[in-house]
Amino acid sequence: MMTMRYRGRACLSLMFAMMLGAGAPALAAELKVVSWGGALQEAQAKVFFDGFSKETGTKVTQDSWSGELAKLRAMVDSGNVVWDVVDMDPQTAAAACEQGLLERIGDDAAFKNAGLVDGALTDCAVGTSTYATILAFQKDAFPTAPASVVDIFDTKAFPGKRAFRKSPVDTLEIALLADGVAPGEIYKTLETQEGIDRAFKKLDTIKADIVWWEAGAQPSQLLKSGEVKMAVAWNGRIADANAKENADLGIAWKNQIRGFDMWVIPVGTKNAALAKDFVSYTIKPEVNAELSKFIAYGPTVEAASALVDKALLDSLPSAPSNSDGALAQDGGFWGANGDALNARFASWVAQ
Amino acid sequence: MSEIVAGKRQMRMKTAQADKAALDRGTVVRGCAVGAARGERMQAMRSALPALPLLVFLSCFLVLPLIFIFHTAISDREIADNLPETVAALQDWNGDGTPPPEVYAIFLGEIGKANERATLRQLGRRMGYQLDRGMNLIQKTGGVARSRAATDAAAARTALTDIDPAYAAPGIWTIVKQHGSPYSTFYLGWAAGFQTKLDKDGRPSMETGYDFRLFYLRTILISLAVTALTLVVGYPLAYVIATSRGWVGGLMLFCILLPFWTSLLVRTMSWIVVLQTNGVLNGVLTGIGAVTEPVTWLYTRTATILVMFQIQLPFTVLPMLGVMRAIPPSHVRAARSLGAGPIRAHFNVYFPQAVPGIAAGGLLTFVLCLGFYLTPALVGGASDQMISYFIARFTNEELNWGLASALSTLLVVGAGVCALPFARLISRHSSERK
Repeated sequence: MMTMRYRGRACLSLMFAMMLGAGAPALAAELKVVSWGGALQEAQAKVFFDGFSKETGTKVTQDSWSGELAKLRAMVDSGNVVWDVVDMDPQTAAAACEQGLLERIGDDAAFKNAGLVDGALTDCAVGTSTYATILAFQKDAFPTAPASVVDIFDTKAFPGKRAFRKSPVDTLEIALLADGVAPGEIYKTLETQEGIDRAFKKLDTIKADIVWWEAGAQPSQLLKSGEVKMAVAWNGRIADANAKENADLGIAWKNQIRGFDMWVIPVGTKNAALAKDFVSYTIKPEVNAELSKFIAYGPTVEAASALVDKALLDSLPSAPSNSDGALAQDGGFWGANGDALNARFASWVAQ
Repeated sequence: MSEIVAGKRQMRMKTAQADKAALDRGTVVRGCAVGAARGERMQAMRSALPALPLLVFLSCFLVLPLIFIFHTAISDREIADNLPETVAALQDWNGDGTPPPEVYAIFLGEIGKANERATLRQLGRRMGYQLDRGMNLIQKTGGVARSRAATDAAAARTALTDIDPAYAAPGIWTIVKQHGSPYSTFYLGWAAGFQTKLDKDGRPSMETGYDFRLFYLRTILISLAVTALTLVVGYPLAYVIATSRGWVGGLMLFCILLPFWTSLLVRTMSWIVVLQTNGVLNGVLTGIGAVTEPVTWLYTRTATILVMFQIQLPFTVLPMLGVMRAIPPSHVRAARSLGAGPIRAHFNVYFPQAVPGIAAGGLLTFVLCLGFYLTPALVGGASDQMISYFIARFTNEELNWGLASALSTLLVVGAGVCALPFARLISRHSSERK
């Protein structure tokens, strides 16, 4: 008799649990967003991920990467895509697009009519913020501070170790700028074999003094620990180190190389519609302008420029005072030539 | 009379019984001999039974992966899978100039099919490994083949040469003709440092690729340096531990084992703190006045060898210690009593007995050093990277598994060849000991 009662109760609780279990998946949709880690991702989390979560009730999980396209390639090739939205630079996005790894969202009406600045919308990618590659340096290391990014090649005035990103992107452009090529001619020169050889020859002159970094947070770390005296770095990370870690690093803006952080959606992801909603959310003018409060990166929506705090404007890459001799990254060039130049660069670094 | 008959019958029965017993005994003895041999074999098999899990484990996690890696190193399927008809049509071409126009039509058709099957990207990558700008070439052609179905041969030839003049040169056709089989030594040749890239005319490319011979040489030299260092420092250390009687030996053994119990990553990162420009070592040196400016220790060959030495020291010392502990101290005492000085006694009596331990420790360290990846990546400079760094790079970043497998195969074969004479020396020693 007691067993029968227990059995009845057990049946009831089992049914209850099954109903709960069946209902649970319908509650929270999940979106996986991948970015570059560090200060950038923290800022994006505060503005984009939390904001989108609050607005739509979607659970946003994060992951980070450092631009290893091969990981994405492996996912798409095997059909097991776990990343829904990825933050890419224009050249990686162009290369991945050409290789058929990304959804072609450039033709979506929603993005075409969002009022994005020039170059922020490509075949497969939507720009979300603008950043600049600049020269960061220890303020007390030199009697006269370096004024331009190309000063990193001047070992007489600025002796000691210097840090570069372990990638041909931006590195080859800076080498050619230092060798006297005008910003408008850089990519035309790099299309020729002589131009590429010229860039590598220029880099050979300082190769012994170079320390290579791979993650965005490393340049400020190397500068603070005194390992290097100057470093090519992303401006937002340096500004963040100055603000939060009292790093007291100087920034040379002249000849900055401007790029975009762009959202892409890998082919084969199960949440493509939700991913597009997320991207649309981040290019709403008020949301787009909000990012500048947390990291020194500029908006990509025309209407958002007016909404950015006046006090922050001077620290952004787009400020007129920072734009002397600026060069905009050419995503198309890198998309077509990235593979070959990456291989050549990697073998040059290793020798 | 009947008693005699009965008695004779009894005797005959007894003899017969005795004969039978003798016959049986002989059979038993012979049977024993045969049974004994079989029993020995059964005994041997049964005593090897506990090793069965180890054999299964080894075959699953060592032999099978090695077979897989070797298979990947010689696999070269992309051209054979995507362009079989083009390969067949090219067999009649003698290699000069350009192939006949029909080949172009077949090629365009197969590129179109590869595009539909979504295998064009792999084909493009494979072409890019061997031909200048090969990947761009295939990608561009795929784009055109999608939108245009060329019907006759001449139109196909014009279409292709319009896409890129490389189609009017022999380079790409030579490559396709030579790689029609799903297996080839292309990746092995590339890993061994042979020039494999061609320009559009079929001549060796001007592009300088990776210099794998240099990387292998660098790996071997660093491993030899670390092995020599650990042997020179480890031998006296092992000697002291083995022959000490008090707490000194125990303490030193503890000091050697203690780093063993911390993670490899933690050990390497703590060296970064010591060796960096404003780190502990430079602080001490400038403090005692040995140098005026901080010395660069980090991201150099010195740092790599130093950190690898500290990590590998236990691996060298422990085998040496095991062998040294088994050397009877009476031998050296006997040599001394016969008139030899302490150094001569040591080198003539003690050292030869310790040689197998030295060989074991040195071999272990050398082979482990060949595969080092983490330490040079963290404390070494860009020109201190060992071969495992490149194997990891081709596996994870460039997704060139054929080349990564070829590099691994050469490394395993090379390490095996180096290890063989030492392994024989060590096994001879252990069998003598029995």
